[in-house]
Amino acid sequence: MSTAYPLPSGLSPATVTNTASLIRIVTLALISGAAIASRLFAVINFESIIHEFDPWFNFRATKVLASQGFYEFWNWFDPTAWYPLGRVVGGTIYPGLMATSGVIYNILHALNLPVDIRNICVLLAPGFSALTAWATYMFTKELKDESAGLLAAAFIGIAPGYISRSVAGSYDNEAIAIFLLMFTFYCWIKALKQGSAFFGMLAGVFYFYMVAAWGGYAFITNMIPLHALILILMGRFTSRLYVGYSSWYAIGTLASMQVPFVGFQPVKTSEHMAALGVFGLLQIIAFAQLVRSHLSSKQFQNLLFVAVIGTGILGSLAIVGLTYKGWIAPWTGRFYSLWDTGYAKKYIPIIASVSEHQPTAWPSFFMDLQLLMFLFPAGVFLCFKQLRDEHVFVIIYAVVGSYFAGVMVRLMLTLTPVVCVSAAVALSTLLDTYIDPVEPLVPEEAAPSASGDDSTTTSASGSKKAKKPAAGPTESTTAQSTPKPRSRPGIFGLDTRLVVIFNAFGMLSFFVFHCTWVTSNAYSSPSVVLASANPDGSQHIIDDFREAYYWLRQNTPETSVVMSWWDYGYQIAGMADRPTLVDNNTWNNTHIATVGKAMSSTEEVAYPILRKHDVDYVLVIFGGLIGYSGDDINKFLWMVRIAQGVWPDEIQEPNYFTPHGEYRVDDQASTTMKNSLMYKMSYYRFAELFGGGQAMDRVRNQAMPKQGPTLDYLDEAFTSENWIVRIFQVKKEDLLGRDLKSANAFSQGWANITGQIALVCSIDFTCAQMITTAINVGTDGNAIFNSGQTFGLMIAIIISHGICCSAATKIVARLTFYYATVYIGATIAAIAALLVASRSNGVSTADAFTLLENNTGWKNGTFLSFKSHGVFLIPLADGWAFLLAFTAPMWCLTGYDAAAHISEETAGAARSAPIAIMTAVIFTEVFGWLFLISASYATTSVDDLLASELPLPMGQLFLNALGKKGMLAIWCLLISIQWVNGISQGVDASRVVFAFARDNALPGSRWWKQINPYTQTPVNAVWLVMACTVALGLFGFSDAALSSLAGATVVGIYTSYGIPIFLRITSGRGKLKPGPFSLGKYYMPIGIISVVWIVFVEVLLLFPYTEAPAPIDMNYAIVLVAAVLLFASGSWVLSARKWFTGPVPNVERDDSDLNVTEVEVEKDEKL
Amino acid sequence: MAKSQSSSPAQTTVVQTLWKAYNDQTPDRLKFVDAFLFFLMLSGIVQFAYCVLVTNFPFNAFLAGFSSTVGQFVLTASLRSQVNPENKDEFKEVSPERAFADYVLGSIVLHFFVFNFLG
Repeated sequence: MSTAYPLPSGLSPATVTNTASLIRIVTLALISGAAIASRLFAVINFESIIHEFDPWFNFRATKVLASQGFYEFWNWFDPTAWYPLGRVVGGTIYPGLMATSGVIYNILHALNLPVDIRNICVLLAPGFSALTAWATYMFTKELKDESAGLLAAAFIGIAPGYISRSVAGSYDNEAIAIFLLMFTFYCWIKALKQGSAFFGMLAGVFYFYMVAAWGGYAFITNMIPLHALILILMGRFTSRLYVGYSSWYAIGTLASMQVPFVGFQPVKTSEHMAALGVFGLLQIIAFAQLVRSHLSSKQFQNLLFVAVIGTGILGSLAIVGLTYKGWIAPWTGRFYSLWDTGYAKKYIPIIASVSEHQPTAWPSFFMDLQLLMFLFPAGVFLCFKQLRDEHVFVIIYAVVGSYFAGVMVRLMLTLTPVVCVSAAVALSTLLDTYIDPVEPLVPEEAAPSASGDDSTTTSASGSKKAKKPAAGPTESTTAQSTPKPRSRPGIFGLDTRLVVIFNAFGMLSFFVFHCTWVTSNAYSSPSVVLASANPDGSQHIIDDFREAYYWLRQNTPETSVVMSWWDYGYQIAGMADRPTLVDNNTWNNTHIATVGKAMSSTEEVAYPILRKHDVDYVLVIFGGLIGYSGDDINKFLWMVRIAQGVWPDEIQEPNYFTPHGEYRVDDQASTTMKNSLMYKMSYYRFAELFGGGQAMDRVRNQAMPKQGPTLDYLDEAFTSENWIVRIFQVKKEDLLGRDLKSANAFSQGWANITGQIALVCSIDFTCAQMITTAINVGTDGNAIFNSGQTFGLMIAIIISHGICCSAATKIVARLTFYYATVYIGATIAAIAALLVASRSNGVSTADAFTLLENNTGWKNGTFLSFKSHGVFLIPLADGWAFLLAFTAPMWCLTGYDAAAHISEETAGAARSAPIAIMTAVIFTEVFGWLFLISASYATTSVDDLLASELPLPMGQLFLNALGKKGMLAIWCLLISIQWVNGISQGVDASRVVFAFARDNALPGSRWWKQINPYTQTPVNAVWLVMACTVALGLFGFSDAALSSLAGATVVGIYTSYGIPIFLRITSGRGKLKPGPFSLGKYYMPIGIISVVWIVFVEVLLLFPYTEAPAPIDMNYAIVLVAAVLLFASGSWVLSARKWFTGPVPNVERDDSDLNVTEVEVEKDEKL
Repeated sequence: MAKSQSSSPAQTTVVQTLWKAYNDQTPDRLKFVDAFLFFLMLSGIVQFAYCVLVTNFPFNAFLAGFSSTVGQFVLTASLRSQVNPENKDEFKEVSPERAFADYVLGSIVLHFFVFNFLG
């Protein structure tokens, strides 16, 4: 016998066998190592973390199992899922995965190996992939031989099609299911081959494990009966088939019903009826066989077979009938979607919306299987050549698997094992042929008929050389043990062999490179953590998801309900530990559709839905900033479709497209799209991020409009670093109940508006008085103005203010800014001048600070001595006068909310407005105090000042202290300041009026809320304010009216300050979410002091100035305040509560009144 | 069984032939097994009749009981064919002893599930 290359001689067959099996074991171990190692890319590139979505739920369930034991897990009711429904977890999951981890966990801990449950979960899939490799080896060994088995094990170990579902951290049911699938099939083949009840029973037990682990068990449930049926139809019924199938079915079916989630399905649903039918058929055939063995009549046999077929038809008719009558559940939607790929999209969008349920694109076959893809048909062909029972199985599996893999991406997973097996058979046959050193005998005729079984059995002994082609030539020595001189087709010479083997080796190397590349680049991303490359090529980790989930975990109450699209339900539950409306377990279509409706409706429609479901936070995924394409806007159409399925009248998919049928998010986006909650949340403040530049959505490559959407019912609560996760807080209806809040805002607004206008009036009136004082002094008392003249002067000032306030905000801002410096300088100058003057012509420090002169009308009263404070022996009346003196500074201390009123025109208002207010307060305090001190020093006699002819006693003070020229100089400065002061107060008042008009709270709001397109200011509101100011100025004809107005002003303004503070420290405690600037825990003492002080001062302000006031000098402030509040309340009761819904914080919406009214009316009807 | 009767009534002799052949050709051991099989079949029929005619209320209990008889039946039938000397060629790797061991093991596993399901 000639060989192609020399072989060592003298090796005993035992040595060869032993070496072969040793090498086999070592190789299998290495394959297992490679399978595990290649799945660790995820851990190395990222970290030991649970991946994606479903694994987070599995992980959470496993933690419950590990920490609370199996019974607690079994009875676990999870109230946080599917809020408010909750979920019976124990009865609605496949517990196999968690049980496996739990068992491993307990075993390791029993061995005193304190391994974290997370690491067990992360590494479970790689561990089981090693077992899968072993099971595939066993399976393929039954098919061909050990060498093919080793190749198949190596293939399945690194094939991306399987790795995609089993990298470290991919803690999903498939992680263990593929091993169970392959091992069950192996047991079945073994049972069929040997006719062994033991293997049948084993197949049943592993089938049970599979049922407990994965919904894909239905694949086994139908594959094995199909195989059995085809064998019967091929006339291959044997007792072995009977034994194997019956023992598998009897035990497996009973066992599968132990899983609560499966329950009685195996005897009640159509998916399982094929197995039952084949079982019955086998019983009948076996009985017929038995009968046949005792008879020989050919005719009788035929009769029997007719009866068999008849019974079969009857049986299937019975099943159809039962299905029809409803005794057996009809096929489920998932099943239909396997046959009709368009079915899901039409009828069950919820299934179609899952990306892994989409039909497979052809490149993914190459991506997942590469080389194996074209070896696969060759392997199937070789199966046809031999066609033993197990080959029939592989052929059926290949056909069914290919079909399913084409229908759904995720079913690529079930195809991969059979591809590996077939490819291994093909490649191993190739290598067997070309490594075999035996050269054919030249002249003799070939005997092709013998090439079937014999060739495989003979080459089997030389198997080990095939498992690693590289090692082939050195190990091929054992091929010597094929001494059969049978002539058969073979290869001559070494060159052909080398070429082919080298080629095969090259292909395999490429395969290894491909698998490694795909695994590390495509399938190892945890999806929870994303990676991108820095400019220098280094890895940049994007960790927005965890950032946001941990924010939720740490910053929100544990009971906060989070609404998001269902994809993120499990992650929120697992990482943020917060209740969710919907999650990845899609059992309740309506609930998901509700979320879809909320997301795709306008805010006004969505808000009642959110409130009804107690939603506190809404979470959206937005990839537009960094180009993360798996975001919610890209999934948005599915939300629309699913919602449309339940509310076809309210949600219509075409409305979300442009008229040209494009899906756009930029300027051209449809109105429905732009008004949808999802759109608004995604792009809220997105344009701001580009600082005036063109905002670009990098996922959809569309330029976003500069003016982004605004939100009325939600507040932005959190946006992650790369904007991937955005969390919005749903605004509470209010602090005291919706109506009350509106009522409060309403009267608060009225109080404020009155105060603001009165303040303008008083400033302008004072300004007019200052001018008359100056003229009086300048003419040495010759020109004295009466009330009418002063009023005329005031009107002139008001008109000048009106013009200035109508000017564009920018001009006003520049003017006020310029005068702010003048203001401070003049104040300091006045203080300094008074102090300097008082050194030569003033009172002593003691008098300045302690002398009390009572010029109020409260003169009578007994002495009240405070013994403990011996110094202060104050007469009661003087004490009262002392208290009344508190009211004076209140004048200085109003108006510091001016910053808040124009906050909507300010950048970063949330932080800068409160700081501005505080700065204003501190400046007013300090300078006001200093000024009063210096004035006290300069005042020699209060009576003299009051006796002055000048309209303003303060003018007399300056005149006394500084002389005529000095007084006029300072006074002119002060007049100009007062005038600018009037402008800023006018702006302030007009903005308040505008804001209130925008909330539709004023009569004729339509007019007052209009913005002049040229100046961009609310011109109408300005002139309304000025008109009111003129009207109020009429009070200037009466001193009592003037002072009453003054009191009313301060009361009005302070009431409006006091209401929110009071609510904040009482019923609103804890309900308010602090903004970026807050008082922290000091809000309580400060709030209490403020409210007490406001009540105290308001009471004082309402008191008359004398003990027994005549009508002429009565303080009418209380009348004014009461009138305003009465009017406001009356207006509220009569009409406003029907349309006033609280502040509307946006400038752009002119049609808002319409929408708000509609919603409000609708709500009333429902109530 | 139903089939042999459903065949034409004129051929009652066929049934007699069959019965005779069975009696003659079957070893005693297998007849013993057949007796057990017959018993199991009767038990299954009774249970099924009860379920259909009276109630299926504890459906799991019925399924457990019925599965127990069916499962035991098929396991016994498997044992019967494995130890049947006529089938020696088919079951090359299963000796009668091995077959019995498989049978016992299978029955234990089956009744483990039956017991679990009864409750």
